[in-house]
Amino acid sequence: MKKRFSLSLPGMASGWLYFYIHFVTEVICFYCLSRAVGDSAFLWIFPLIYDALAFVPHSLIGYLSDKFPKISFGIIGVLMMAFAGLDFGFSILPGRYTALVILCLGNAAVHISGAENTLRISRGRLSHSAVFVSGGSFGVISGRLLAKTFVPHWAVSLLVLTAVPFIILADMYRKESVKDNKDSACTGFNYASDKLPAMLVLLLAVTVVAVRGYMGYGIPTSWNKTIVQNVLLYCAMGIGKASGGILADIFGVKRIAMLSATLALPFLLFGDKVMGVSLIGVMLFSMTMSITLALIVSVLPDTPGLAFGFTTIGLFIGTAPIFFFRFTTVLSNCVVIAVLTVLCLVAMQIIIRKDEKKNA
Amino acid sequence: MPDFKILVNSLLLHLTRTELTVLSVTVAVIIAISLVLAAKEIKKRRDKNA
Repeated sequence: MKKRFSLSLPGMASGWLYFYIHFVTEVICFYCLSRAVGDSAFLWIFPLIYDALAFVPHSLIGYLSDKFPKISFGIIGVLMMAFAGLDFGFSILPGRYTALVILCLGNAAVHISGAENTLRISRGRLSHSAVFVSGGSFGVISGRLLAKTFVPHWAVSLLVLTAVPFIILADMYRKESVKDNKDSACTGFNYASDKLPAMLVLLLAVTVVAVRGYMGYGIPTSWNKTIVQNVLLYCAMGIGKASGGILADIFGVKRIAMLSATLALPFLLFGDKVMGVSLIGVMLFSMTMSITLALIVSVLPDTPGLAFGFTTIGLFIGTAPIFFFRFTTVLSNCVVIAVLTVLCLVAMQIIIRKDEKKNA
Repeated sequence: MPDFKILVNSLLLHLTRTELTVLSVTVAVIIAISLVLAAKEIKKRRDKNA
């Protein structure tokens, strides 16, 4: 058993601070998005533009954040999202999509801030970034539910502003940790195979993210009919993402990546009508999220912001086809899920290094 | 398989041709720049380690 898992205070505190920051970020995004798609003309075009403009620019914003670490992209992002919330409510700026574009860029800036902070402070461990990433699932469902209430846009803008002190505190932890460590690069991330060209590892890891992004929408969940069941589904995703990183720190990255992907398959295929079985599958399925991030950071340890951007590019590539066509029968869905899982397993077997003792 | 002509036409029901072009070009350019930046970073790291 590996001894790399430790609850170092600044690292874990930073992870949990960004759990909340990520949570409120997704609350405002999905609140605004759900309110906007209430207008049937924008039923699917708003989410498509959101996916394109929130997911894809992460890499460029991340690269800027890597090169200019003194700029607080987190605070800039929160202010942009708060303003976008007001713009959605009061139509301050002209243009159909202005508020949406500001919201997307704000979302990307906050995500990058969270990734930079939790990755640089973690010294090669996955749990910190996994906890940060998991906050989003709880935020997505909370934002969607909030959109169905009477809560106005300005109130949600105020809610997102509560993240500012959390970002300041997380930045303080990061500065303290970097001062102790004297190495702000993520050199502790050393999970990718060194037998393959780094660019190939990067492309395969992005492919795994894209495939799993596509699969996420294809999981058969005909049991999911009520609000409570929907909440449970998102909670399972959040718990899966967090526990994936924590378990990978304890038992090893390769073991958890291969086990979670393999075990998820039967639970997903046979959980179409049984909620409990399906939730276990979704939880296991979500575990690889932080592992693919760690693999890309292993290839780009000096630029974790850019590395994080590649995971979101993968998510965009994986989710974009959903807007145009889906497999309509359960059988075809199951076949696709099974084939894609095997592809992911093969890719991960190739790109994750065997000798994890070399990790920091 | 989807008919891409129908897909583009359905997109154009909601977006103008200019909006659709700007969106697609933006996405493609950002992905291309990201790949170039990644290749540059990988090369820099390889040179440093050599």
